[in-house]
Amino acid sequence: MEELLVRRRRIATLAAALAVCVLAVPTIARAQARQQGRAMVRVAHFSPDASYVDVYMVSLNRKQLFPNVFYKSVSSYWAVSAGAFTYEVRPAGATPESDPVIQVKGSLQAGKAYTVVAVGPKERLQGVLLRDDMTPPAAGMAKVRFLDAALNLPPVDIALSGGRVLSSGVDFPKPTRYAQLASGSYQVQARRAGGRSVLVDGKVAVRPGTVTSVALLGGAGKPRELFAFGDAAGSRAAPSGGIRTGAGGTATSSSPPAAPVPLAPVRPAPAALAGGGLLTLLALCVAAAVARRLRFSA
Amino acid sequence: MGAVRRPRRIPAASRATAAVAVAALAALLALGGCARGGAQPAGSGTAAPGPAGPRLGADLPATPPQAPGFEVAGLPGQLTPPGPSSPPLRLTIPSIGVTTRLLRLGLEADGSMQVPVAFDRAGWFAKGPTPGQVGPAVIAGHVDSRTGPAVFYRLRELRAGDTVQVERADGTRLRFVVEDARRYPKTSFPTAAVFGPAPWAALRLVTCGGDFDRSARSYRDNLVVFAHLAGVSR
Repeated sequence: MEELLVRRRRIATLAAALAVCVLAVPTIARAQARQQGRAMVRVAHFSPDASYVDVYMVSLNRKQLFPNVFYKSVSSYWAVSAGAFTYEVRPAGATPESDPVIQVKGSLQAGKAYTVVAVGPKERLQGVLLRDDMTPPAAGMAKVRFLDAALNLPPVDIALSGGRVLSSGVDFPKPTRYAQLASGSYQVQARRAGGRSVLVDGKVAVRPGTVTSVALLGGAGKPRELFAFGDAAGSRAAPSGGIRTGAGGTATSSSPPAAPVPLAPVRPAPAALAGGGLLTLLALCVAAAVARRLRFSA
Repeated sequence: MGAVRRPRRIPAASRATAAVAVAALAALLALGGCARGGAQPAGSGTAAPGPAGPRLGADLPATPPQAPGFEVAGLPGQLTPPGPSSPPLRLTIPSIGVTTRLLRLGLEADGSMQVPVAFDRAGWFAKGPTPGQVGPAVIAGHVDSRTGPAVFYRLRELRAGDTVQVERADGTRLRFVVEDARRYPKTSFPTAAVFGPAPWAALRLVTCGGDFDRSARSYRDNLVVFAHLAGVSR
């Protein structure tokens, strides 16, 4: 299951606890890796009428406030310590002590990426935790998934204008799995599930090696549309196997063969983590750039 | 560009920002910087204070709340976004004395990655993103020649926090910060982690390491240094 609804918080908490139990067993090496692990996370705001909100994101090593987040905003990813996190949304300007309108608690796994999305009408705002799959697509392909965040939209099938159905019975507020597409530009239709009528359509362009999310948005006076935003980009083609970057001239005499191997995982990177500022900076840059690069029109 | 992207600029936004700034200043002056009970969105016209504090659906941004201990993210002007595509020309790693022009690398006929023909030069894998674009830019260099150290001989000394600089053809200078360095057997090279999708502008430096297999005339391991973009200048 890819998403946790705020109303299922207890289930989520139980699941997280269970996950912790299950994960607590494995080898020491893995445990160490996890301790050093970071997760990637970003936030998005897809509620058409909730307007400005303040988003609070608390993870094991960072406490962040995104003030005045607006409809159709997607932040960049930033790196946090893997483990427990809390996501809260308040009306813009509300004090941090006030009751949040959304609270989602969960657990972030090391090496994984997540998007926390606010969806729904303002009276029934909810948070959805998406797991973003950054494993590479096949050579020459791109990965795309869809998220139904539009209000009052019946379940839809997502299809390419040529006829291929990427996902059927897509319903608010659930994401589809990632589908692989050859790189290129596509006319995408959201059709009434099982029917032919097109409820939303738009163009989505994807490049090889990239990972893209597309949200169905609208309602409460905002136009229905497809809104694409980039998750990640990789190489257009990847080589096979290792890389032959040595001829052995220093392998024997001066240094012993199994010589200086200071390179188990380098120290837990205090600088990099404390320099989370840098990662944030970095993260901040990216979404904008990625999203900008995606040509997209409703 | 802020963390939070506003794809469609609201016409009223800039006016609203000014209004908010004025209101915030007034509030600060009036309250001497004390905590606000609940900042009403400025300029909402309906001056009815009432019990209602901030509410969902307000048309205008509000003054960010006082949230001690929180980093405030997403304010404009905090960062430089990653640049567009432009091939890298030069790599400099001050802490280990590396400075090299970069060759362009592709794939060999057998599907493996080309490596630099010169031992004193590193090369950029041109089928991946350029440094500074979103995704993993990969730069490889030899650890040694048949006779002695090569350009990436001291790559093993890099540690988290070290700086790596790249100059690109468009004149931009990028600063990357090392996050991690790991050694992997070539037989289980982490192709996805090195070449696969990354959510931000990343850099990977690759060379050889571990035991040298004399019969295969090849090192058994690859050393991979992982870094991310930390700054862009011209």
